[in-house]
Amino acid sequence: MLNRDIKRNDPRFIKTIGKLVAAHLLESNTIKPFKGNVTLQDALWAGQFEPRILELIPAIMLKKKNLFQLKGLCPEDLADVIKRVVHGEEAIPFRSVEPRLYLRWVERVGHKGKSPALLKTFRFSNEDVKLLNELKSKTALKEIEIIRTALELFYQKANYRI
Amino acid sequence: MLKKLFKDLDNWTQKTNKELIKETLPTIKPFYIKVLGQTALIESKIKLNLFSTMDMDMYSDCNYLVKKELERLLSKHKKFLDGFSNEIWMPKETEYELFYEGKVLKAYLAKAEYVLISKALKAPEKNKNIIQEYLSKQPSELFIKLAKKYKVDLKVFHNAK
Repeated sequence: MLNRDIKRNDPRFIKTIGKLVAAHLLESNTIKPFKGNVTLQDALWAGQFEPRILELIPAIMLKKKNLFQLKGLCPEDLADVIKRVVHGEEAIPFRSVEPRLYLRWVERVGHKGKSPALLKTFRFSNEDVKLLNELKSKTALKEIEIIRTALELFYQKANYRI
Repeated sequence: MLKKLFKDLDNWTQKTNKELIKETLPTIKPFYIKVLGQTALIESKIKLNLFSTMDMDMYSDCNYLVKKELERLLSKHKKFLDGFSNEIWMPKETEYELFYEGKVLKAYLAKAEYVLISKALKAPEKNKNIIQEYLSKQPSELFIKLAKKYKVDLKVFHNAK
């Protein structure tokens, strides 16, 4: 049996994957959902052999803290990654995972679409405000939703995806 | 799940087109979806131990309205569209197998060998387990040919721990 297979047959690996499958965060064609307890330490251990686990861990720690049991202190590198996300500081790789790969799960895990909001201040002209109010009454959307939709449309257009 | 989802998307597009016709507006043109990545591997029923995050990678020429509806349908299954799909590299000769054919939508799965070579070349560390497992099960001639063409050093996977 290969070293890889021994690690992947370890109960810590199977339970971690099963827990993530049960939480609808991973899909597996071989491991069934597991609803028992899994510690963060075991999940981090399993993450060495399946980077997709590591991609999810920062988001889980931010948005679904109770998914994994925390025994003792949160590892320093993970705590640093989380602190940077919360404070909107420059993100750093988490073990082998580059920031864009774990950051995309922050909005998607737990309450969907919620990520630690960052404050940005802009000055709008009277025309902008008038336009925003008009769109608000026409669409019944909140101001921030209108701005997000506009940004998304602009992004799509800039990428020739419309 | 994916076939049913594509059927729902096709039905929705047809219904939307009927409404657009009534209002004498331009209709949504026929479009394609090419499923890539782990989702393509899982749906192809390849015999590998696969783990996939809940995002779907695809190439598509669908318009914004269709994309939004697809996102809504995926979210019912706790899934998402990968925002970086258009950055995914696939060999230019990739073969896609017809997976679903509706009135307006044609959906395809990227053939497993092309998905695997893309993974081996562009994200070897992340995908080393899948590639190792695949190599241990007699890889196809097509995969070996692609590995040679794209200079993927398969020894790296044989030697990886």
